[in-house]
Amino acid sequence: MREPRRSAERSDRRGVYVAVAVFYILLFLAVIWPVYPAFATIEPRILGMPLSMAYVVAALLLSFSALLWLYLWEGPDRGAEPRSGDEDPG
Amino acid sequence: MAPWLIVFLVTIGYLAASLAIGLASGGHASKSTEGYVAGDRSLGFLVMYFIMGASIFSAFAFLGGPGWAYSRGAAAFYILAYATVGLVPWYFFGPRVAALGRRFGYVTQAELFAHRFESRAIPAILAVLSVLAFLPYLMLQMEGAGYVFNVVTEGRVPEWAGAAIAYGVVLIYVFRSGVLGVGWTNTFQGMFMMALAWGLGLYLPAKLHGGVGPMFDAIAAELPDMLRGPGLGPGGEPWSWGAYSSAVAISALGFSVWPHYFMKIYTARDISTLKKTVIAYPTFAIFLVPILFIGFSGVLAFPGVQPPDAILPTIVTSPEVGLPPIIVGLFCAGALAASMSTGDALLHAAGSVAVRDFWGSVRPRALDDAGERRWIRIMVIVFGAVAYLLAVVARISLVELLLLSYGFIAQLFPLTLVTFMWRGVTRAGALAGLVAGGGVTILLNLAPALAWGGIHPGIYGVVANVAAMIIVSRASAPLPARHVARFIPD
Repeated sequence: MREPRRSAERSDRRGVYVAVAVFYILLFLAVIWPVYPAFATIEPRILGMPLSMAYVVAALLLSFSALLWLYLWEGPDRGAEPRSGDEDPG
Repeated sequence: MAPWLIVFLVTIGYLAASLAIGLASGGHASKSTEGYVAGDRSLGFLVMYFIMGASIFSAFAFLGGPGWAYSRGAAAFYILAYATVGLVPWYFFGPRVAALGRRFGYVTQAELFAHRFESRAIPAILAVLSVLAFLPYLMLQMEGAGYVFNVVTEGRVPEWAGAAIAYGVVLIYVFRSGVLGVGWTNTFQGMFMMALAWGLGLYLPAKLHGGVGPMFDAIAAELPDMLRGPGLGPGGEPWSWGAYSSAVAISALGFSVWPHYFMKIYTARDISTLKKTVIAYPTFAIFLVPILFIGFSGVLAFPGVQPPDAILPTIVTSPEVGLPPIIVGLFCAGALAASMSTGDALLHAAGSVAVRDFWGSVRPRALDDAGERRWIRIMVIVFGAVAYLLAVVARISLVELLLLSYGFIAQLFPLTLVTFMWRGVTRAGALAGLVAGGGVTILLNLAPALAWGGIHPGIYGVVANVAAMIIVSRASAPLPARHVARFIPD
């Protein structure tokens, strides 16, 4: 029973990594044309900054938060070396 | 004591501290090439964090960032935009690069590609491209150091002498201590820059405008186009969205694969340290916010400053602001720290790739470990001298080469992705991608009218790179499956 469970866990983990990768692609698209122009205005002002600047700062903070979440979600496995292929035959 | 002398003494004090830290840190590494280039793969989170932080705080960011905000307004936000995703790819491929480096003994980026594609041509090509990309970048750092010294001492220290003093210190600690010297001085320099960025970034808007909010109120009333994206072009005309977006894209694509940063993956103590460094990276990038505030604070208070990169030294030394000489000295030290913390990594990497990647491909196993280490150190001195002579003595401008270098480096991104994600890529496909990508980038740099929409030539290069890689890989013999499985496990 252990092997199917491990395989299912691996599949779940892969799903989360794919979701995070998609999130970062969307975040990247959000700071360039055609999404960013909708937010590249002066008003509303946030913490004194124009929206065009505050929006990019918010994206930076979102980037930090998403990876921090992933790191915490990974739990004790976060420090594990990635699986390697066959051993080096020399 | 004359104000300029106080400034000079504070700066010399900073340089002495950098030298002491740089020299002291080298004693912890083994006397091997791995010790000199990869710090025996022992760096912890603090040093890794500041090494990558220094990548943001180059002389370009410290002087050029305020210059962009001052002259081009919202266009400067592209620097923040690419930092949102710039280092994220490391979280995904970094652990595998580090593990393979530990297993097969890589200390440079090209060694990974050479092994993956069983090619001696790839590292030799990458070594030449890397050094060509490093040189103008290094020259810019040296020019920045000489310029700052000259301005804050009211012309008493000529630019050539300022650059010689700062980079004399850099050469000594890089020669003696290798990557550990780079890492620990970056830590000291990074803390220094953080304090200075926030201090000046909040003080100057308050002093000149009554705060950040009132500063942006005044700019919005007088020059609203400066605050709306995508800001202004180099001549003050509205910038295009194509140019803005491709500047973000080319910087984001290239950032995680610049050879001198990529090889720092091998220096991390363990996978967890590497991941924490990537997570924390945006917290360093956020320090660019006050740096941009400094530039905006000068828009209405100091109109007409030329070149725009001079806005920060102009504000700091102006009688209206009235900063005490000791603070001006700290600013000078901070600007030098920005220049040196980038320049030292470039020098160290240039020496390493010249010997390990270029000479190691042309004459495999010609040098033993001690010989390699000795030659890397010699090449650090040679590159330092060449960059100094070109930048400060001959005053040759390589700005065009700098623009080209970003396009070139971005071509490494598809190669890095397929290294770990596509079993079907072949040696010929990888080489064809690099040649096509580099060729298109050069062509469109020579004939910018062909680059539609003001889009960066490197973006077209990446498209050609991927297309050539796929087509040629489909038509050529695959690498042995067992070999590829080392990089892409089933």
